[in-house]
Amino acid sequence: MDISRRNLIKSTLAASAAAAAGLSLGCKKKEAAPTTAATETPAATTTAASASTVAVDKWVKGVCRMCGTGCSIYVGVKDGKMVAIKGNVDSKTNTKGFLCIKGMNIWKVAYHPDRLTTPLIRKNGKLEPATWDEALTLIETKFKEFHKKYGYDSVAYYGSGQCTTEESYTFNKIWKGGFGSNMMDGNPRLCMASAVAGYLSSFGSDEPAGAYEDIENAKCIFITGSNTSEAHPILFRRISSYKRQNPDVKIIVCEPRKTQTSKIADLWMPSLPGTDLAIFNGMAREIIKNDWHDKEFIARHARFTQGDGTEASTFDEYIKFIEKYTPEYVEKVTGCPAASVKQAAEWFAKSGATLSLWCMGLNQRSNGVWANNLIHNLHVITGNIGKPGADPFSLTGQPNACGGVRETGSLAHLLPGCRPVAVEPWRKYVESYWKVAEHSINPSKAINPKPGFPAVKLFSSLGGENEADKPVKAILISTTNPAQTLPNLNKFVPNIKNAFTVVIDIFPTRTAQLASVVLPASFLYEKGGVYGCSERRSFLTQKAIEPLEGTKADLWIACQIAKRMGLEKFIAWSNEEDIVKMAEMAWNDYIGCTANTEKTLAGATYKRLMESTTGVQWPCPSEDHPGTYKRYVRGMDPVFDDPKKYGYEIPEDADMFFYGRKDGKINVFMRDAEPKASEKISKEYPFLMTTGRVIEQWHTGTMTMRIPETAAAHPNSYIEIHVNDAKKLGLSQGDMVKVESVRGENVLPVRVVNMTLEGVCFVPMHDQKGARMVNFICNDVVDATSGEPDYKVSAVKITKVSGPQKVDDKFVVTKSELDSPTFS
Amino acid sequence: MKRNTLFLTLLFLMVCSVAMAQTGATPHPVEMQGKDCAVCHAPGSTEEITADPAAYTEWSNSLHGLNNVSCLTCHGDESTFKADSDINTCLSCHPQEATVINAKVDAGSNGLVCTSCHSVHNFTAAPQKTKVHSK
Repeated sequence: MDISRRNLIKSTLAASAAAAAGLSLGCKKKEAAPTTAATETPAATTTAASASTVAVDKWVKGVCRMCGTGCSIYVGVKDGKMVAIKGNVDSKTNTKGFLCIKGMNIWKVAYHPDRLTTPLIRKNGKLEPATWDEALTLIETKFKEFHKKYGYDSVAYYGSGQCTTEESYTFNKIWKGGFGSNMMDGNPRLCMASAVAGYLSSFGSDEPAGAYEDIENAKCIFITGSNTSEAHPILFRRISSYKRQNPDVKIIVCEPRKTQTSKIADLWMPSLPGTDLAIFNGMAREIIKNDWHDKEFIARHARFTQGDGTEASTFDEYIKFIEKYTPEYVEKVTGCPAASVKQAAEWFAKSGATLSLWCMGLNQRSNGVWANNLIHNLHVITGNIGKPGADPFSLTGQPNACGGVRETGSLAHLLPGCRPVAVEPWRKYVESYWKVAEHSINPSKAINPKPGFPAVKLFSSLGGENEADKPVKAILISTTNPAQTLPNLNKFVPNIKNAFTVVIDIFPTRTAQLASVVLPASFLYEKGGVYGCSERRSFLTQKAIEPLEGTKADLWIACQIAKRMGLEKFIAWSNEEDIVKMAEMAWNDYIGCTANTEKTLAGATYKRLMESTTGVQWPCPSEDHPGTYKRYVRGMDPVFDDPKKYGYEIPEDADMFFYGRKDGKINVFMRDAEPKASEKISKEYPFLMTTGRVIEQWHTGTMTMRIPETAAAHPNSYIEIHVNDAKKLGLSQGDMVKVESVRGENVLPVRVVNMTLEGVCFVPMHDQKGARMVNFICNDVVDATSGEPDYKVSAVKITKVSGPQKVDDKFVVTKSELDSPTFS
Repeated sequence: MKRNTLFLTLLFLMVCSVAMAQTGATPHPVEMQGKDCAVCHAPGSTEEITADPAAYTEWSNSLHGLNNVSCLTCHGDESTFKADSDINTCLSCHPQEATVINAKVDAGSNGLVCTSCHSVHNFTAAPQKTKVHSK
């Protein structure tokens, strides 16, 4: 082999870097006995004595933080450093312990030289190093000043589905109980708020009835608005493995692009972005027309309704409503062949157990809640709820959007238990549980009944002291990067810059570039905490290693702010020194607060979570309760055992009862398919652009662009264009094009593909390079009910700029660029 | 002076080779110049130096191909490149299989090698009478 000097030095450097990080890629030592994995295989049963597996001092239990699946892992620790990851073979989520490329490399993030290790305060336009005391004092001073000058709603919090449950709950309690302000929201508003509103409006209670276990019990799996193969790769592996072993199981995939997910599909249903509601209504029409609907289930569990759900209607009215959605009409509107609509309807209705899976393709839409409602409709009219393998199951994007944000109620309109702040009895209960009257620093001594602003409105209302029309003057942002993730960025970047913005993160980000104060955070495995994944399962990550010097856990930061703002007694764990003990106290407070809701995790004590290798699914009312696979079914859902405890009434003879609504029925909505506010193509903007994930990257790439393997696999964004469109525009592979909407533009290399519909193009969302940050193009129109923006449908024009150029720069914002936020 | 230089060069090379043996990282045969693996490895490549397209096709049709377990997952990027994956690579995703092996496997000089049974790049193994990876 010809080894050039360059490569030799490169290899040596790589080896040195790996050695410095404690990485042993090929050592021949025998694997050390695990210290925390109680069910590890005894070495005696194997011939693996000669296996050159990674030598570690201990394997520490945890969960992956790179999507919403909740893959259970063990972190290998050697000499106090993380050196490896392996999947948990006992896991109920990533069965057999499979991990994807992000999960298996996640530990490398902790040792990247870009880690922030000192607080920074902006002085004369420059972020200067400061002590923790200086930074926290400045935050305290500003928050107190703004509270006094502009009111308690002038100081906001913006959290994340990647904060631990203990962290989100603590910030929620500080803001809503301590400050008497609901001006707090989080990035789950950008990803699953429509799913929340969908479950609440259809079922009266958030989150799915079923679980991942339904995958292996389904006879038909309907995947829509989700490229599961890349956004939830380990769930896709479960589905593909199940399909391989059970070829009779039907897989239907409905989305504008024929992605890798469609590879296992029996039927791909294309739909032009924004039009799939017509497909869902069309399938419902076909089901009823052919008498495939479940009459008994409908009679017992369906409530037909018009408008927003307040007005009752009838099955006959529903039939009339969907009459216009003939397969031919659906084909005309969506691009999906009429025959496919018929076939999908038949498989969906007649399989015996149909599971629907969807994600951002439905949620991130101006009619996202309606799209969710129409999926629920299909399950109700076919009786595909409450039995193994049958469920409308929304996939969540982030590892702790469900557990940390939905269940703790850390959004502007919610309280713990995912119940609206506007509902008086629950608000009064939380006030009493938290002892708000005793501790609040707000003279009202109460939780504000008026919801705060959802994310897009919050950032629209954010600004400097000289901006009279911007009522929010300060914002604390934890574990998320809104200066890259908000849609129509040109509108929001100045607001974030002009306000007093505090950013808590582990790396320099686009948002940190605009911040007044930056606080360096500890990485998940340096602190531990609970994450609750898509299937109602909470799992504890144990602290594996000491935090990188100079960094602090978000929970510690929350506690310091609480203490300085006069809430020392209100946040009882704020004086605790040990971060694990601190988290346990926060967790205990949380599970006590929600013990009388269906979200109860009262039985999931910290001790139990510490010992568990599988986590616990709510409802779990007591330590001897195993957790719940299926909600709403007597004998499985513990709410049926004592409904009054949870504020519900369930007839004694009801085997299945959707207690979220008083009559125990699910709303079947008449939702028209015409996109309410989605952008339409025009002569000037003739293409529909949609956005999404790729398997190797996570969100804004702040972590995955710093892992060599994932960065190399996806070094830059691009635009996928159908081959026929490319021909019309005279474009070849790699040509650089300007992609423009009415809001902003990108310059991207072209990927000519034949797996998307003509007229539809796709751009991944992860790139940090200003000219490739797709959210400059995206639309900030939101769903009227959920407040979730429409990232999936933007009208754009595409013009050639040049031939191919080298743009695989794996761009990340570095420390040296914190003071020069050039977004180009 | 010349002797010193030669000695230092030899010492450097020795350190390098030890380091490389420890890490398992090897140089990629050609400079990748930032290109995606498929550019040279996929069938129909128009590159000057092409790689074995049969391996790519085999991978593409395998369960790894179906599940997006791409080249980089096992072989690393250019800076962490390994031509042959060792058991540690497999361990991350196949913890059960990588630690429970109830069969005699010729470990060779490099420790246990999954590819002894699971032929690259389709990763299937001949059916066995007794279970190989169950506890």
